[in-house]
Amino acid sequence: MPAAPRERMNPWRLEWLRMTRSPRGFVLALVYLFFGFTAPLLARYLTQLAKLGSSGVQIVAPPPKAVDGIVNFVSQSSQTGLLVLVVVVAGGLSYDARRGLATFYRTWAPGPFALIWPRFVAGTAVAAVAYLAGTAAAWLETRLVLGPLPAGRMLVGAGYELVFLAFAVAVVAATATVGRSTLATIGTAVVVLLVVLPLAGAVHVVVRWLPTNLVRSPAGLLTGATVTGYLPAVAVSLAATAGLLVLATVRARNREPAS
Amino acid sequence: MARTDVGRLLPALLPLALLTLALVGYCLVDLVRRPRAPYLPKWAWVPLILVVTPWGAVVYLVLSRTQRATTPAPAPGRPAPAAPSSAPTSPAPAPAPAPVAARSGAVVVRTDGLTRDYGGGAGLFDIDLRVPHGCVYGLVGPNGAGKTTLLSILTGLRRADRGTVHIGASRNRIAVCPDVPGFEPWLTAFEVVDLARHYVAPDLAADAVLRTLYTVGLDEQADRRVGGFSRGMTQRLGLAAALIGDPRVLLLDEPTSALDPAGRAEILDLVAAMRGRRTVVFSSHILADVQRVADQVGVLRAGRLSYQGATGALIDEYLDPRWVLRLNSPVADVVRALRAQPWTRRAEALDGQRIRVDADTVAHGEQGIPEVLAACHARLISCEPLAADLEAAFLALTATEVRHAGSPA
Repeated sequence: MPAAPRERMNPWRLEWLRMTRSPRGFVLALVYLFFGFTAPLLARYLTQLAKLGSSGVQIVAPPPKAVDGIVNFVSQSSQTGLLVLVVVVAGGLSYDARRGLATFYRTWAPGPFALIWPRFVAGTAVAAVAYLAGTAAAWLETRLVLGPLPAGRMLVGAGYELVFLAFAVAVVAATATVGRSTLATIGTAVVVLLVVLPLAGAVHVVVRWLPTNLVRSPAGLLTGATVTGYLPAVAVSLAATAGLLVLATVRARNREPAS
Repeated sequence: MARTDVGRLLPALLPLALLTLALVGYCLVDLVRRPRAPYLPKWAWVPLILVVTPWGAVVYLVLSRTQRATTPAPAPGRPAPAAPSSAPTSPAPAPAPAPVAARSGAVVVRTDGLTRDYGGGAGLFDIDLRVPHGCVYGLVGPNGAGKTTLLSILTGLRRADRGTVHIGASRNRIAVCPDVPGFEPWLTAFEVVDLARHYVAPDLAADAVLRTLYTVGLDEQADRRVGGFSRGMTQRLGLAAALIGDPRVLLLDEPTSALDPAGRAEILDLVAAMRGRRTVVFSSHILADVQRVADQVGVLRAGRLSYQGATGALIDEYLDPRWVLRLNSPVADVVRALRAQPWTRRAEALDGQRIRVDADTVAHGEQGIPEVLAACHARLISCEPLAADLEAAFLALTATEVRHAGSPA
């Protein structure tokens, strides 16, 4: 028998290996880093690029400000990053989609929460690391090409965004107990996060309470919004995250795996 | 572009350029080192990675990582698990009576009136299962008979519409292996079994994991990722993951369906060796496998339990047992002696060496033939049962049911 020492397994190591041995974590980080490095450059040189692409048309635009780098990063990364995040975490959370896999996990683990919780935490952690890396890249690029940014507001905005990312992972956890396949989980989560909630944002009364309001908070805080203005959305997001995890646990306990 | 702009732009572009360069460099080094590139020839990837930067490199990385998780990695210098001395090419006689533990009569797995109706006649209906302690219980039946549903209800993965299930073991001492086990393809065999250990027997040492892998013939593959395993190896791994907690009750769904004859023999020997130590319920459509290891059998047909009891008794009940004796001495005296026995239905010499004997029951034949041979001082070369197997009994049983169902009331 091979005598080489091997690291012992537990649910947390399982999630670490899921993110490092498959391209999941790498792809998510790459998406945020890409937008972090390119969005401020695009904000700075958008006018010049537009001039290169047009012949004889005079383009007049105000000179870019430092805040435009982050605004551009947020607008470009929010949808793509969220989409990739949903795909990345859905693979782990929809363990019921494969009967052979579900049989082992369900008969080994003491209950569904023991399966959902590590996957939720790992998904949120990877999203946080990827998002913070992208934000750091955007901050660095913005500082280099456009000018300095208020660090305090940047950090608060990033913190709010992390609350939203945790909420998004919880949405995937809940939708994984609705769909019978990973694709169905992804589809349902995308509809909820990128269609239903943004549409609900059209209702003026509820917009400040919606978790999706936090997506633009890193840019909003740099363009005049107050820190307290996002607290209702933070509270709703945290409560909804807890509620969705409870819902996912209850639904996973009550349903049968795919046949 | 103004000079100051260029001065600002260069340091701004530097991280992006470094990131892209690192990505491209990593991909090229990886491409050179790996024996085969994903989907395309290696030379075709070089311009893709270099020209379509960075997307060519990203696509290469994603595809190569996916492939790494699913392609079998050879284990040089490691011998394949030893094949057993004999393969189960023909069904063995039904096992001898179970050891003391199995004969004690204590029922470990019991269901009463278990029903799961899928509609349209599909499902399970009024199943009263009785699995004695320490026995190997074979669950047989045609496709769609309800074997998997019954095992799923026993494991708690499905719910019954009505009826009760009682399993005389704590939750972590009940283990399951489905017909098509599934694992994360990027885990190694050791990690899969060690993860099972974490959940069901956290105090076990790492050696126990390796011993379990050794038991199922996968110790040499302990560090291979399971995404590259064949279906047979995956089935063995599923069995290892089920065995790591030393379960009292082991539920196996078609445990040999994906194995070659040598692999089947190994796993069946393993299951047979568990008799008396743990209670095994295993479903199979390979009746020879069930006959080989199961001392108790349940026959499911259209969701109902048609028969439940000793495997030998089923064979005995539904067949006219026949044997062919091959002797190394004159056969005439033996034929006469056999015909004189009250249990003999028919005895005739097939040629100068062989005799065909039909008995009224398997038990009478098994006891009586050796006595007659001994009395005649015959020199026995072989005694082979003819058609006295579970498959014939199963066909006879189901044919009887069809006749009963078709006969007018």
